[in-house]
This record gives sequence, C-alpha cells and structure tokens, in this order.
Amino acid sequence: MTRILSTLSTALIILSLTSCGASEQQSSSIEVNTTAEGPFFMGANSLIADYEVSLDNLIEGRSIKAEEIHSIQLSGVSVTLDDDSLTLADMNSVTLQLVGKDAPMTTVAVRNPISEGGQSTTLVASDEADLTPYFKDSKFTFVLDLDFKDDAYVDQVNASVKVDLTISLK
Amino acid sequence: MRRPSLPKLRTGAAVAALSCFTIVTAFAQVDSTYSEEDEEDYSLYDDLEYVDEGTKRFANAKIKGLSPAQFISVGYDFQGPHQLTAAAFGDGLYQEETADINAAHGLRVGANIPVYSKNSLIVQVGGQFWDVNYDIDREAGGDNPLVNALQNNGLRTVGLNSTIYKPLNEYSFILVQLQADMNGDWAIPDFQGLQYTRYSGAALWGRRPKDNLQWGVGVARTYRAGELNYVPIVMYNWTSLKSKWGCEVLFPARGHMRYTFNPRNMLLMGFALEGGSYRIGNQGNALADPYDELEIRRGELRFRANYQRQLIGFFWMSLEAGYRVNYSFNVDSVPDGQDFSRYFILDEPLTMENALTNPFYVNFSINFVSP
Amino acid sequence: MSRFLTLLFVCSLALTGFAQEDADRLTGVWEPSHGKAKIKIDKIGEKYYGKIVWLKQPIDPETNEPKVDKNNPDEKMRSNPLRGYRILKDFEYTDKDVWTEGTIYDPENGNTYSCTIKMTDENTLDIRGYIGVSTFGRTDIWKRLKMPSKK
Repeated sequence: MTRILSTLSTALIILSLTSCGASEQQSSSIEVNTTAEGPFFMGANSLIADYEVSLDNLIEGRSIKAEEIHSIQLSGVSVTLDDDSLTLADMNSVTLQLVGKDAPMTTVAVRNPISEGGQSTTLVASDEADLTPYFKDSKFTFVLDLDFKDDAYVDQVNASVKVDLTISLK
Repeated sequence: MRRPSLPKLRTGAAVAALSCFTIVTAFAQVDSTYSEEDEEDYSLYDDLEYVDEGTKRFANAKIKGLSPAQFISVGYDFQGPHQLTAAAFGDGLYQEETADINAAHGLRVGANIPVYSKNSLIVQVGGQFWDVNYDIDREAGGDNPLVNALQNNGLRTVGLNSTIYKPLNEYSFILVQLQADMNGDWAIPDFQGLQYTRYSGAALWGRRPKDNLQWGVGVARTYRAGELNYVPIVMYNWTSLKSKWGCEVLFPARGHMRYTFNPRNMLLMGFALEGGSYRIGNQGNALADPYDELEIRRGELRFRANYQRQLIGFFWMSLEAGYRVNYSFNVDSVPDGQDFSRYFILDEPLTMENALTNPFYVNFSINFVSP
Repeated sequence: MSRFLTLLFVCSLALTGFAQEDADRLTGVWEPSHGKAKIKIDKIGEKYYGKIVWLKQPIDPETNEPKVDKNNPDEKMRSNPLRGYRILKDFEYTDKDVWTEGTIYDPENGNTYSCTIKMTDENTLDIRGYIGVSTFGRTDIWKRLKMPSKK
C-alpha cells in the first residue's frame, strides 16, 4: 500500500511539473530597422519601428499558434547604426523598449555607458521580461532610445535592432 | 520593419475623403507624435517658466528609504512560556495565585485606509483588532479573578483611528493622530459599554529639511504604558545617503535602526512600547462590589528584530522575533470607566500589583503595503 | 440619403479630430509638486508617455555618476539612465479630461503604480498613483511649463 501511494505521489509530482512547464525550446531572431528624422539634440532621441508579428515565420520551418507559446524571452540584443556619419561614441547610452496595443511599454535591454565606438554594440538584455504578450498581438513597436552626447545635425538616423529569442513551447 | 511614411498615409486619407480637413489633421497628429519624440536637448529644460502659476510645494509625508506603510495587515503574535503572579486584593477576599502561562497568542488585524490623499493633506482612517488567548496551567485550587478572566476569556482590542498629516509648507508639517479603543475580556457579541472606550491621541509639529531626514516634537495622551499618561514625543526618521542605514523613531512608542538590503528587503532592530487598559468584565458576577470595575494596565516593552520583505507586488511579509519585557500588568479600580491619570491623582493606590516574567515572542504578518 | 451619410461620416471624423486634439493637450513639459524633476509627455502610437528630461540632482552622490535606475526590480536594467527614463507609460485618453490605463514608476523604490491623470485646467494635472484600487493612492499636482524653444 505504501509503495502504491509513493509511486502515485511521484507520478503526480512529475505530471504536475511537466504540465506547468514548457516541453520544448526553440531559438529565433528578428531584426527591425528603427528610424528617426533629425536634427538630433543632446539627450534621448527615439528611433521607432513597428513590427508585424508572423507566428508562421517566427521559428524557421515551423508554424506555431499563439496558444502553443509558453514564454518568449530575450537571449541577446544588438544594435547597429546604419549611418557612417554617427558612431556609438556619440551616444551616452542605448535603451530598447517594446510597446504593443494591449501590452505595456517595457524596457527590455540597455547599454549604459557605451564605452566603445564603432557602429555596433550588444545591449544587456533583461532575463525577466516575458515578450509573449507582444507576440500574441498582431504587431508591436520597437522604441530605441539613443542618448546623444551632443547635437547632431543629420537628416535621419537608422539603426537595425537584432533580437535573439528563446521561445518555450507548451 | 519601418512604419508607413507620412505621404503614404496622406494619400490614403485623401482617397477616403478628399476634401476632409479633419482626416488630414487626425493623421498628421498621429504622425507628429513620432517626430516630436525624436529630438531632445536636456539643457533646454534647465530654466523653464510656468505657463500659468507654479504649485505650492509641500513637505512629503515620507522620507526616502522608510519601511513601507501598511494599508492592511493580518498577523499572528505568539509569546512563549512565562509566569504571572496575580496579587491578592479585596482585603483577603481574593487570594494571590501564581500561574504558568504556556503561551499568550492571537490574531492581529489592522487597516489604514487613506480617505483623502493629496500633497497638501492626507487623512487616513483605520481600524484594528487584536486578540490574546492565554494557555494557562494553574495551581490546584487557584481562583484569582484576574487569572480566571485571562484563562476563560483572554483579552481583546478593537479600535478605530485616524491620522491627519498636514504639511504647512515645503519643510514643516503637523501630524495628528486620534484613536479610540475598546479593550477588555469581552467576547463577540457581548461588547462592553461605550463608557469603557479609551481615547488616545498625539499631536506633533515637525520638519523635513531633506529627503532623507524628518523630525518632530509633540505631546501624546497614551495608554502604551498601561495606564493613562501624557508624555512628550519625539519623531526622528533618517536614511543614510547610500540608503543602506537609517532609523525610524517615534519615542517613546518605538525606535528602530534599519538596514536595507534593497528597497524590497530590510531589517529593523529596536524596541516598541505597546499596551492598553483592559477592562475585566466581571462575567458571571464573580467580583463583588467595590471590586467589580477593574482594568488591567498592560504595558510591555518589546525588544525586537523585524525582517520585512516583498512577497509579490505590494504584498510583503514581516517576521519579527524578540524579548517581551513586562512594564506593567497591574490592575486599577475604575468605576464606570471614569479613568484617571496618576499625573493628577498621585496617591491613587493600585488594586493589584502583579508580577509577570518575560518571554521570547514571535510575530508573523502578511501586509498590503505602500512602499 | 447618401449625402446624409457623407455628412454623418464627415461629422464623425471631425469629432474624432477634436477628441484627438483634446487628448493631445496632455503633451508638454510638466513639473511635479516637489519640483525635483521635469517630465515631458509625448505620444507614441495612440498612447502617452512621460519621460524625465530634467533632474534637480542629476548626479548620484554615491557614485558621482549620472543617476541610473538602480532600484529596478530587474537587476539587468539597473544601468538604465534616469534622465530620459519614461516614468509615465501607456496612458489612453478616455474623455472628460481624464487619461487612464497608465502606470507611474517611482525610481526611489523601483515600484510601478497604477495611475490616472486628470487635467483640472489646461496647465494643471492631478496625477493619482495607486495600488490596486484608487483608494490606496495619492494625488500629486503637476504644473505645465513653457515648452523650450530649440537652439
């Protein structure tokens, strides 16, 4: 009797653990081009891009449904300035935020201070932010704040943002 | 992916309603939000003028780094084994008895609701219910009425309070606190009469010269030491610049040093003085006239360590442990609830001069807080 | 009939335009009652956001560096600079001079509160931050500042 109870309770624990957690993890990357028109003044300038969610193409070679998603987390974020007239040495910091129609704005990655120059940098990505609500919407917006050290009289700044995702499926 | 450009939007709008000015306006406004957001020069904001007139500045009720204020608290208090020696009284009518109290424990529920809360005035109204049940081992034949009351009924407090914080300007403020408590060995629904309600209060004038310092002086009418007292009070709240250390003092009611691990996790160490005047309700007419209008003057000092941390969101837990030192567990005769203070009636004799030893205690509560 | 429908359509669009103008009155630079910060409210998409554009004490005395969001519950986001930080987020205009559904962030303790903004006159906001229900909250009065002209 004791053995039956012990087996039953072990099975229940395993069942509850597996039913709560994710059963499969996939990696994916998305890239967007954020943009803003100048001139740019000292301080935070927001480069913005809308992203149309397509769950059919999120994981290569596989179409998923929103209900299948257990969680989507960041595994890396990098930013590349697409304009040679400015470098990252012109910035104090870079911050990435996401906002959706029904999902609140969340800061998901930051680099402060920026020690290197050049055109590209990796940001420190939040490992607590769950991006699932954004991907359950039809689209959401990337808001990339570049904190300029000084005024920059250029017509436009474009920066591509590459976001690496870890997608946990139920 | 880039958002549609303005010309495309404008073309789309024009197709929908060519001459409709409002459409263009609406779309133009949507678009302008992006461009407005685009440029920032912080130095521009150094010397801005008010469009209309500036607001009057008021001293904030808090300083940085304080432990969170509790809106709602549900907890349990447990005192370990100790001993009560209840004195003889009534000219040989009631005999002395020494009883072993295995535990004194009970629920503590409190609420403080801000009914008006602006930067110019804060009014809070609250209530509290405290219950103390006594688990007692008695000597054979022991029949002291005080021990009987504690063993059979325990002690209870139900009270209402209000706190008013009125900042006078950017640095000065007045704090007024009023409280009405019904304390005794009553049981629901047999409340004691309203004439036994005990009123206490405090008024304090203070200064908040910096974001990390707040102090004040005032006077209180209080039952914290058991019987009615009028005492000067001193408030001193301070937080170090690095926000790690601080103190929270409202002397003589409480005083704590605070160490902040982070804003969601802190340790307070110090003391609190708590107590009240508890009416013994003479249930079953066990007490004979003129000894049937007794009140226990309970006052105790709690030397304690209190660990507070966030559980989730605005729900915090508080775990407290310490040593409870008896200040008073004496009994006065208070006919018809007409209370008195020994400041004014110096020669009023005590009916019972009891002795209570000192136990360790723990207190655990879950609190809904305003950090 | 079709002329009537067209008129109705145009009127509804006009009303939408006015509502938009009403909503956009929130944008601008505002000063909380304590006077230690200035907040610029902008619009992103259909929602309103307020970021810190000025701090009375921009330098953290502990580090002698510009202040960062050191109390953020998300440890990895603590290097985010406070100047430029959006403390008001996701406000939507309802009507009657009220913006709701937003949050306000307190960098002093890293907590985010629900928030409602009421414009009591063109240059005054009642900002009520609260926990759960509006009762558990506090209202602060913010005053509009003149928008800076760019150099």
